[in-house]
Amino acid sequence: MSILDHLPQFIVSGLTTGSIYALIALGFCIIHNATGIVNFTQVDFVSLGGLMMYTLLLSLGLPLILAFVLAVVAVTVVGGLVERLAIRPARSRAVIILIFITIGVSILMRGIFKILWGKNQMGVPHFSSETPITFFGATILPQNLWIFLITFIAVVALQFFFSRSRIGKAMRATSFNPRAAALMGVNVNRMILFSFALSGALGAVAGIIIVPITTLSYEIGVMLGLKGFAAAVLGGYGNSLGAVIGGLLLGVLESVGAGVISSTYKDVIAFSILLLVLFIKPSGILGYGDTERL
Amino acid sequence: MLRIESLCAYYRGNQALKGVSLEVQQGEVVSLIGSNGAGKTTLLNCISGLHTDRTGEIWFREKDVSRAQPHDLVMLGLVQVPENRQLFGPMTVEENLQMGAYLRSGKMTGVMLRKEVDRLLERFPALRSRRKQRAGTLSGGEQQMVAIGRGLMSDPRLLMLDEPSLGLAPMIVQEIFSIIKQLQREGCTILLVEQNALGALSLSDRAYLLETGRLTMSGQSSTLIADKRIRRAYLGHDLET
Repeated sequence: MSILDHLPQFIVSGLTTGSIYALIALGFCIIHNATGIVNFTQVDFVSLGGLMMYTLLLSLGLPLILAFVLAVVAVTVVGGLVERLAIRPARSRAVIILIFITIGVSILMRGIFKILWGKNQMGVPHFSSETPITFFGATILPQNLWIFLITFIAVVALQFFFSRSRIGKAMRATSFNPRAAALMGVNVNRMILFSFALSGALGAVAGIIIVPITTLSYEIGVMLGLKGFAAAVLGGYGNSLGAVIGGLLLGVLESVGAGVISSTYKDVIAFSILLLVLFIKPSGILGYGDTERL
Repeated sequence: MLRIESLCAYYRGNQALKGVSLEVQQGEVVSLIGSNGAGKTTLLNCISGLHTDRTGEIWFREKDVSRAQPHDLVMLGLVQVPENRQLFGPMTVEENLQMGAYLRSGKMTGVMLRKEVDRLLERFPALRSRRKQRAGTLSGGEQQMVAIGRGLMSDPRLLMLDEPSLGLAPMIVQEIFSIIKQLQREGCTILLVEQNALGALSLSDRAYLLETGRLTMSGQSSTLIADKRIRRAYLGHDLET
């Protein structure tokens, strides 16, 4: 069989991981827009989402939907705590110092996960049946469809939140001009707290929906998260539409590349794309500079 | 309404304000004039709670607000329209105006908020057709109108305008000043900060002159406008004329 015959399969699996990258990239964007920093604990939000799902679903035996919701809530709270305990006390510092703080907190969080959940690999069941569906020559698992659906809902809900809701608009206003937002009565500290909480929720969703089709470990989010970061750069760092497009594009390029060359080089392909973007067009696909940030 | 006592402000150890005391009474329009770098914007940012490296007391509506956060001050009705407009450029005119009503809009329905925007736009007919346009794409004069409108949406008890005429063509400046006059007729309390001393003095009731961090003169605007030193230094008149 030629590569072309496999193309539908590559695209489906690319869009699946691409959806995860997109959600993670959105988390990076939201915090970047609120604070100007890159928050590396984003990768651990993804791990924690998966780990919480494992514990709630399998150890505590909660129903799927309840476990899903509680896992998202837990990581949302952790996101807020990261801001409150690690970022806010140091907020007057330079951006680069804050970024280093997030790297430190990320390592700390991973250590805590290792103590709590151990180093073993774990498995989480699929949300529904594991019987594959064949579609245009591609084999699709129901879990793939769950990933597409949940990502779609998350992206639409986020768009609605930022364009319609009072708090969402205030968060956007704060990202464009924090001083002016403060003069409108916006509590800027609270908006930054919300941005960490929201990014925690997005990371959690990404982790929860991907773990059934991958193996779960305490550091599952690291590689996914770094590729989510690459996707955010590819789309134009800080641009949320770019984050979604960048995520899906990176997923597909990586999957097709791995199919054409060799799956051994999957990670190399993703990070080569990141380097290419940084060399050729550092502002990314949709990066127009500061005025176009969401 | 607003009383400031011996306010000093610092930037990395450099003193920008050296013991400023002033007050604004209810219903008054007070202008604060002075050249570039005199400390006018610093003074406003101290009052608004944005500049925190400072000493001295600030009282607003009988409350000590020296340590209040910016959002607490907006809640009390102390609203600043900042220098250079500082609009939310990528957001629409309507969204900018809605942001002005941010603290009040928590208790409003979407319909009520839209009505408030409608009512505000009656004051600025030029903006009516621009409602859905991104604020950053407007002309300077229109942007200044949005900035003032956004401030008014906060329902201020005291409106502080920082250089509303900055960078605008003379005809547009006239238009902005006539908007301020209209607000004055409606009984708004205004603290107007201006480099355009003539424009500010000719519409305000009282005025202060700020020079390198100190208030060097104060009194009725009509007195200041006739003062020889002010005429020479700030109004561009020679002593002879």
